[in-house]
Amino acid sequence: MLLRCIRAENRKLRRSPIWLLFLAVPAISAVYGTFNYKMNLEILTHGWYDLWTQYTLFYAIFFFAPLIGVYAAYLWRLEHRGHNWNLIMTAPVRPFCLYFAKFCVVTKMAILTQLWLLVLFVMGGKFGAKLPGFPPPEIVLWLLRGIIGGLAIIALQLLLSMVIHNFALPVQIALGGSVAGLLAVSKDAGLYWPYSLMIMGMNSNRTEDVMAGGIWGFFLSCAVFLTVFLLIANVTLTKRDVKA
Amino acid sequence: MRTLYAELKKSRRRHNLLVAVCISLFVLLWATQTGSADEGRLEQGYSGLFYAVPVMNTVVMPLGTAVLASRLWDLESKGNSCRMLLTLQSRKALFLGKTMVALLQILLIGIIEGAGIPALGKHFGFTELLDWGQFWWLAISTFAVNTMLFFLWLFLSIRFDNQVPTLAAGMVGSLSGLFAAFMPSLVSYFLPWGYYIPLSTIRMDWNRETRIVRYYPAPYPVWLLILTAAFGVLFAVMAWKALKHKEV
Repeated sequence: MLLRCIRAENRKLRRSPIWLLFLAVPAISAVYGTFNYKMNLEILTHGWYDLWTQYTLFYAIFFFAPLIGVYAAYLWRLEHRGHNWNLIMTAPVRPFCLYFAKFCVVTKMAILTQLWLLVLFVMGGKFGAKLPGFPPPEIVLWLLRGIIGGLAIIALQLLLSMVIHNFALPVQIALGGSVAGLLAVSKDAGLYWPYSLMIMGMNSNRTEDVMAGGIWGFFLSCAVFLTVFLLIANVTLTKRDVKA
Repeated sequence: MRTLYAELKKSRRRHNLLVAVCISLFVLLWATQTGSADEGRLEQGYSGLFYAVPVMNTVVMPLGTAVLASRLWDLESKGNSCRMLLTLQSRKALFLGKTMVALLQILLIGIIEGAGIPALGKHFGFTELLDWGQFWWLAISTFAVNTMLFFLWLFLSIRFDNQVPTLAAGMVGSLSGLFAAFMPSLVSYFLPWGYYIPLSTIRMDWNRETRIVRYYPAPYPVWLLILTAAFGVLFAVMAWKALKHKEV
């Protein structure tokens, strides 16, 4: 049943305008990152590592979570129109399956977004910044960690978009959460705020690994936040009455 | 007045004013963390804020105004109420009503942000005297850019009933506007959603050896404010034309 729900959610993405956003946000970060790297070659001396900081600085800090917010709000938008909520609550599937299918699809989108960023990073490094060799393997690890850190954001944004019957507001909340996440990271409290986890995982604005020695705390925090948000979604969908 | 009253009634329980308040409080909260209140920087505290607030506005406001515009129009498109509404009131009245409510929200954002600057100065004990000329310039330029952007996003919201293009444009606007701040100043003039920064009249000089930040004033870019107002009129006309010719 879950697979069917995932298939249905995937269909919503066909010819959807969110693909434009998917292409644009990492591409703007890439253009800026390459340009800024080339302009500051006298202080950016760590090659691929410094290029990475330029690519992910604003992308991870400010724009990843709102991007996930748009993906999540888009998938819930149809359910909030007309009497569709009644329809899905009477469908012969567990309500949580609907949520979890959306979670799987947004996770897929997040992975694709990260891969698109990696492609842009390699191309920008080779042809724009003209760096020798290929990116160090840590970069792939940081991208993967970014995805793991992003899972809690995905679960939270889906929850917000499910509860708030408005497309725009959850996206604004995501931006607010991201800025608060930046402040939390600067105060060494990043592990206690879900929006900080992606910033920490991506190792943005640092050439050395910010989580060297503290990786298990990061994974634990990701797991706790993810579990809490999934549980809240399950309880909300199970207990909540149908509203037309 | 009746149109405005009707629009305010529609906004009941949608907490639009609360959203506007949250947007401005959010900028102020962020401003508390800029380092303007650090020891040794109190004598340039206000200058630091006048430099930092436009940068924060560039991140927050394009998306914030897109949210305001989207919420105002989504109300009609979600409920398919345009057809019925336009049998009761003219398109002009509907447009004016939405515009007035939006201007009220943008004004509220400006008032809270404006009131927050001297309040932060008092709270942190800035020793620098508040330059009221800079203060009013920041308030007016922020209001002008917010209004211009609101009309641009309203145009997109009316043109496409799906709110994704409006939010996507708001996000891309925030991102590109922020990046323009770190590129040659000529680039920023081509990105109206980032005009908060070129309209700012405080510049920063950072000495790499001593690691000392010094702020200094720049001339008021009046021509850019006029250009912003011109863009605002253009986008308002585009939004009005979109509503005037909208098929319901």
